[in-house]
Amino acid sequence: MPDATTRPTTSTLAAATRAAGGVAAGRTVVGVADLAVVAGPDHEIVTYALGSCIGVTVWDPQTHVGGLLHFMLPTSKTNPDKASTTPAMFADTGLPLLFKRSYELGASKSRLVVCAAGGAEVLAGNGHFRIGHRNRTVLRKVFFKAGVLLKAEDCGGNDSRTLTLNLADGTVTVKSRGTETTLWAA
Amino acid sequence: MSDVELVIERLPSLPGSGGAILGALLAPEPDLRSVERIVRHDEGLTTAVLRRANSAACGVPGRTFNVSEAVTRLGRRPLIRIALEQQLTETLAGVGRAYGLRRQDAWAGALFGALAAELLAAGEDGVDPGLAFTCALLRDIGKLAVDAMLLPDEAAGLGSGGDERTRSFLELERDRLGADHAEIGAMLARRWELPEEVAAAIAAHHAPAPPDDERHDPLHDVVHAADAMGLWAGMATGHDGLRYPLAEHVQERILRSNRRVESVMAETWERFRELTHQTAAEADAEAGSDAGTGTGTGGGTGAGAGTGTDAATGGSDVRGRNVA
Repeated sequence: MPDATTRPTTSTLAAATRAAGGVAAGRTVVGVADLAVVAGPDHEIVTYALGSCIGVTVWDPQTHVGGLLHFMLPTSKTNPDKASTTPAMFADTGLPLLFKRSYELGASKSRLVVCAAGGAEVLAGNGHFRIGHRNRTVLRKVFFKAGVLLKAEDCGGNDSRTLTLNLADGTVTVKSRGTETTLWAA
Repeated sequence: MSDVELVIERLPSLPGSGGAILGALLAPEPDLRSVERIVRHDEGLTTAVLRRANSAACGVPGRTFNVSEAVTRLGRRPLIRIALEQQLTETLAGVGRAYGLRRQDAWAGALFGALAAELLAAGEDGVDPGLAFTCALLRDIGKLAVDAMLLPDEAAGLGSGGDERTRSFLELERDRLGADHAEIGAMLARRWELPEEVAAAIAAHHAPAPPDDERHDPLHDVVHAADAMGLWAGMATGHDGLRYPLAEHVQERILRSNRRVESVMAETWERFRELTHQTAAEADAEAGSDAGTGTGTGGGTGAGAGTGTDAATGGSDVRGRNVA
């Protein structure tokens, strides 16, 4: 992935600090327009209620470095000023930052397991305002350009999702309407 | 009397002087003396009004301990916000259990929608941004009554089979309860004696009348569009997910383009985050002065607020703090 030229979010810095200090036990909650990257293995990263937003997880099975991005909108072109302060809000600025932070903590692009969930839609007849679809399109475009393959995804539909990454074994789960399913497991 | 009416009858009244102060502030010609009288008779409201009137954000130099002067300093819109925050935060905090929402999710979802409505209303002729804010903030109060009628497991199972999965959640609510949460919310607003404009906007927030209908009101269009933005952002979406319709005329008249939608959502998110950070900082300052200890704000950004589908698990609190 290309290097991000944007500033990291508060939580990214906090997560990186925790990892650098060797204290990475517990659970990190990632909010909307936010990301966290942590050096595991004794850690879990979760994001709640992905509507049309998309959650992207990355995990390196060798170093147990893992990260989660919860982006809300497809492109920063409409809001360049906000992209500089909150890069995790957009797919085109958040995704490079997620990978960059992972590499900084020792992850390798060739080993990364990448999964995605979210991108739901409201019930709209003519489908002009399909924020979830636009988010998925830009996600695929960015990954295609960077040569990144998704191992698993659960996108679309009309349900809200909670996405969890376990850094111990890389298991990714999706919870929707009270039911949890495994999206990816080693 | 229907089941819904019985439940509404048994729900607590709006706390404190919530109905009275909102009624006075939202009147076409607000009567300042009535507002002052209501504030003076409510200790919590008096404290909040004086604190805000003396804050740097108010922008007026010099301190005042006079309610009348504080009310004049602040003006109508800030007073509406204070009244809503003061009177409704606790009531809305627990809303949405049946939908699988965690505590504070509904409040954060309400606030996000209210901020979006305020922004959208600013560009619409004949729509008062303050009234749009209030209506959007209160749009989901009907879920308070649904909580009393539906268990979370039951709500999660509604419409889960086959073709049912793409049915509007409003239809499922009507099938199961005899009314949807928008209709129920309007009934509750009337019971709380909130202004009729607010009750009507709550009733219409998922199905605003089209322009060729005599019931059409641009305020309802704005609140509906703001609700859709909350759904897209995943704010307070639970077992019902995003299974709500988006009115065609609102797409054309209010949302207009993806560019506008994305721009308003980004701006709303920034305002939401600023507001929740500010509230957290104020609470931390109070906790620090009361107990002699301060609390950090954690690594989150306030972003976790209002986004939950799993009431049983931990997660971020309203400040988006990380939870170990």
